[in-house]
Amino acid sequence: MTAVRRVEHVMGTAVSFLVHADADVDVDVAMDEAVAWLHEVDDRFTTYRSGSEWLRYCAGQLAPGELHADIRHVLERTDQLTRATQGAFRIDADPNRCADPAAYVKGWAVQRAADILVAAGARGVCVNGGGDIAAWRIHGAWRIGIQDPFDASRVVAVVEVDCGAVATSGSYERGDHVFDPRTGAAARGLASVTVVGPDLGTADAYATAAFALGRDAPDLLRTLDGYGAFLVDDAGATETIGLPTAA
Amino acid sequence: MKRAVPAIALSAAGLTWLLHAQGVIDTNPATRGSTPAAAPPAGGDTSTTASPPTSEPSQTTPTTKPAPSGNRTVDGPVVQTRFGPVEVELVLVGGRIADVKALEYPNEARRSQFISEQALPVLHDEVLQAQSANIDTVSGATYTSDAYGQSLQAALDKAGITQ
Repeated sequence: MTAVRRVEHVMGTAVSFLVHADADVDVDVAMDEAVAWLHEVDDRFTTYRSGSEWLRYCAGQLAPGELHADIRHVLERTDQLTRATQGAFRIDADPNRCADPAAYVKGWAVQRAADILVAAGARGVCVNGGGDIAAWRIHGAWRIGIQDPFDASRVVAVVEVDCGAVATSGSYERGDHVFDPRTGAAARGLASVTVVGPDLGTADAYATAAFALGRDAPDLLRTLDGYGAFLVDDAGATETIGLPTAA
Repeated sequence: MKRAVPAIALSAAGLTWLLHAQGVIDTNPATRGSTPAAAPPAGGDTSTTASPPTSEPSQTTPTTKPAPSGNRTVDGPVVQTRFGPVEVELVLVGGRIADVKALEYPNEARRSQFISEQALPVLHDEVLQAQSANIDTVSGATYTSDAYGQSLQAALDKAGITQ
């Protein structure tokens, strides 16, 4: 069995691949396909480069019948997630700007990149998109450290995943970029929220929603069927919701 | 095809998540759960937290250790600590981190030189602690492509550490 690693810079971040496969599986071909998919998503949904399909959609330049199936999917799914989070997650928080679907799209794209590698016959796949992880493994489990939001050299917990996703939201990397939908002000109260569950796009959106709610996040997180969470508040206290724990 | 294979795996393997407490996280089941654990702040004084079980007492100058064959060193990231940036070098033996050397003291640290000298042995233990957790990858707030180079994930990728 071979272990293959690769790091691809795409979607404004670095995506790290770790794949275990038998020698008769051509990991490089599958990896190329997964990487091409990520670039395709980046080109279609970017809000950083003018002329993307998403920006043309926002500008009203595309008729509904002209929308790519992936754009229709993202619009439908993010609308569902807005309702599931009672408005805490939304892509159109700023009415003066084009909607930004990144908090769903990145996780969704990384999840599908991992799925491509699983479908190609890998025995283990761990794809980390800038801190958000889709993981799958036939035997055993991947051990995923949760970064200490106060010290980049430490992990505060380890979650073992054999088939699932881990997404973390916090402001310690990029400053205030998540806003409390109730006040419009920068989210306060939490240092980081990590959500664990079956799908990375969903976990990413839930983590963003929970971070936006600050100290009220547990009320939302307890309602999310199939997803658990690990929180670190801004005083360093931790809380686990809906995840089995082991010493 | 996009979701079919993981969906099958999901039902077959189930979702077995274990949250392991490491370092500052309270490991007492009686105090874990729906209320915040009675743990010290993660950014607090780490000198009272447990050291990795196999490590020697902290060495401030581990650079003179003779290197057994098969060792290699990897330039690590500039790790952001609460005392300022510290560049580290990882010494790998058989693909595992055997030692961490601080290459660059935080000369722009907000704290005094005294504190930075205290901090480095702590960092030494802390980075080993991340490795002693034997992790494959790290979840954290999304870093930019430019900031990736300073991430613990970048060090893991660079070292090519596998199970």
